[in-house]
Amino acid sequence: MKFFTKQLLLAFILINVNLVSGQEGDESSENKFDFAQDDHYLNIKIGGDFVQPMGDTFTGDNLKSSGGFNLELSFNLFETPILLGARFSNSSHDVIDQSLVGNYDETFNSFIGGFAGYQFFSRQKLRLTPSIGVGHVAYKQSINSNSFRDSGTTFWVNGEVSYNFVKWFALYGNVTLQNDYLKMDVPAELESYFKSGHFVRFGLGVKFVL
Amino acid sequence: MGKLFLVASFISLLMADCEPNIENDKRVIIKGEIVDPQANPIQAIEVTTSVEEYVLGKTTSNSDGSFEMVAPESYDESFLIAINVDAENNYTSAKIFRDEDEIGRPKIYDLGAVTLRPTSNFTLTTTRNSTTSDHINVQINYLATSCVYDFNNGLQEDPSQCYEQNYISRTTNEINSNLDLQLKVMRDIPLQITYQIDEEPATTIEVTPNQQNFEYEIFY
Repeated sequence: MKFFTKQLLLAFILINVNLVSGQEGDESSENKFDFAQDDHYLNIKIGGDFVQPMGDTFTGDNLKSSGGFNLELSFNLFETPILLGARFSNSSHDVIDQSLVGNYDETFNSFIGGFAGYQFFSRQKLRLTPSIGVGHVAYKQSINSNSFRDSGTTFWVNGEVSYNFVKWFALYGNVTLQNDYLKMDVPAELESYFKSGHFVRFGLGVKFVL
Repeated sequence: MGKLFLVASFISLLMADCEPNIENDKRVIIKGEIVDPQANPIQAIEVTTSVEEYVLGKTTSNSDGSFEMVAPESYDESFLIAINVDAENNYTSAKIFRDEDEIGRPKIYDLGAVTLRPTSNFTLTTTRNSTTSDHINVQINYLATSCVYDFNNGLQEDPSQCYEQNYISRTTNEINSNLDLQLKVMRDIPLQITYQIDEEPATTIEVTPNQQNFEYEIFY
């Protein structure tokens, strides 16, 4: 009984010491942000993507991976970590088997839409920003310069890590899961093949905070 | 400068209108089977679908004669499915035009069994043996090696547009005293050769090319 009492007392002391240290740490971290809160109006992100088609539809089954481009404009909502913005991305993919889609060598995928995100550690150098977005997507291809397109709606989920060297300049890396849903008029046996397209995009770029 | 710009814009608009439209957000399936007159499958036969010079889809028949491809659609009146056209092999060709009632209707162009007949590379040569300056006129009557079909809820064959009667005629002259005519003709189907040497009565003979490469020579 005496032994257990000493053990319990020691555990109680240790727990309290930790709680007090934590509180002191919380109080001191208020003064340890890398950047002061200030007014800024616009975030501009420009970067390149490596785009990998996925799934068993016409994208994952019949398109090759390629490079792409990404441009984002966003702003913080009322100085909160909530981000609202617009994104434009594109990529061009070679066709593997033309007898499955038509007599063309490549398709040009582009989408534009709005997104909402949340910046974790918004005043630190290293930040995490998950976001979700929705927009319009189009696949453009041409046969002897006679072009046509397949279009629809896209939804994407994005996870970004950025490092701010200074208040106005950062590098970012992100992973985006892009899911396209097309309004294609096709025979019933091609419905599941053409109605959706999926990509994973690995991006790197720079961010300017104005 | 302003007038030049207007003229250039007008010409551009005209050219844009001339390009056949490929439909957005649409694909069709073209499928069928290529067989010979004995219903044996024929492989490696090229099948294309096109509007004017724009080839929308292309594939070749499999070892069992079947083919299937996905292609964009066009509602242009020049829409054509071509089978073995301009090919170097020894089979006839087929052209399938879409009936105007079918525009926008089919999602699948199921051609069923398309029969191609064997052909022969026929060569007719003339050789002048005499020392006189005789001239020879040669006319060959033969069946064309192509068949035209109409697609209306399936393949519709029009006998009047299949393997039509054709002829070719040549005459020697001072410069070319010998002829060398090369034709692609139906194999095992007789063709008629009518030749006339100067003012002599014309002679008609019947020749049946029964091999992949068939040669016939006329001496005069």
